[in-house]
Amino acid sequence: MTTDNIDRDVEATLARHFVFDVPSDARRSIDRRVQAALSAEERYRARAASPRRRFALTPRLLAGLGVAAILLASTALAGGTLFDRLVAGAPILEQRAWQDATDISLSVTDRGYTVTLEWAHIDREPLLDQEHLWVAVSVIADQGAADIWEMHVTDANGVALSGHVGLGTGDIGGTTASLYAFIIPEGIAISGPFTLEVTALEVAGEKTPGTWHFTFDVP
Amino acid sequence: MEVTPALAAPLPARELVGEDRLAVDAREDPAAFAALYEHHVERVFRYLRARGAPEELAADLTATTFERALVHIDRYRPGPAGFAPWLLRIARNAYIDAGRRSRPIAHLHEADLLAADGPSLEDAAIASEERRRLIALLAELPDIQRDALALRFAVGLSSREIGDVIGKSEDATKKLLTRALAALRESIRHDD
Repeated sequence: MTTDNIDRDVEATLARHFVFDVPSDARRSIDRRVQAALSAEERYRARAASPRRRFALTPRLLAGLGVAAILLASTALAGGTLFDRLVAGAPILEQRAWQDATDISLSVTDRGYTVTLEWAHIDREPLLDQEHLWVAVSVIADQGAADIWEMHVTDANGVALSGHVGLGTGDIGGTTASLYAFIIPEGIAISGPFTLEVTALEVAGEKTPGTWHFTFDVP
Repeated sequence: MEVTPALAAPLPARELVGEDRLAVDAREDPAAFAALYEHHVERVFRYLRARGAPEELAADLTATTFERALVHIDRYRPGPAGFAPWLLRIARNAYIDAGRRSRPIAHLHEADLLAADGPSLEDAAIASEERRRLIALLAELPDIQRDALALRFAVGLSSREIGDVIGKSEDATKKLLTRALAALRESIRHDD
């Protein structure tokens, strides 16, 4: 065997035997750890942020992050990249939604709870791969505090937008509104008018059914 | 002698620009960090496995690497070295820390290596024998040489990038790789 051949053989052998694919269970385990680290880092940064920061850290936001983490973790089992799963958590997208949103300002009262759809926005040219419909919703209760427990969005053709994820809160005229993102199914052109139906609120930790129905459109 | 990476090519310059931008954005934006994670997770895992970490430990250290990178992302300074060497330096330190905490990590975990053999029994037998031989030969090399070989052939880094990871100049890294390959070559010739 010549020296040149041996050189090539050595390098080829090293290349061949240094190929290690990440097994799917190992990948899920790594994903979960990194996801948890990102959630923790997000909370730490929110806590350390200036009081003038647009999104305040509230118990509600923390709860929302928890819900988001659970949703994202469960999505991990169904596949998709961590990058995809974090799309809804990107502050830059939140900022853009707040800036470009269409004012809706529709209120519905049921059982003493007034739900207001403050604004909505669609990522027509998303910064990242996935398009989202964003809505900001506030809830005012006659007594105590209430929050969204369950809601659904469909477009004019009945296409359901999945997985609402609470992302944070913002101040709208002195009222605290919560921001939610709905994933627009890939490859489907959705069209308005849209229907947002809140079917339950969280009141003192309990699910409280009701009907708060909105029809709206966004450019 | 400058060896040619046999697997992943070194990151092209335009990608480094993009990665630097992502790394800076990642200070504020989790999606930017997630993009870096997606791009590098397999490389980090592969490096750790090539260093000798069994599958479970490699997964644990890969996660540790990204956890540490996230916490210290503010310390990353964009520059010609690029993001990959910075990240792999963290992985390398995590691997060294793990070795200090527990019993010495085997140079290469033979059972794991053999489990990933070819499709046929004959191929598997040939590959197994080849791997056994490689494991034995690599075990005779100094640790720094094994490290450089892993960074070259498992991750595909250039000599400059490898030097950045292991703390040596580009020229010194080239000499290190040359010596490592020459030693392997001599061992193979001796065996034959």
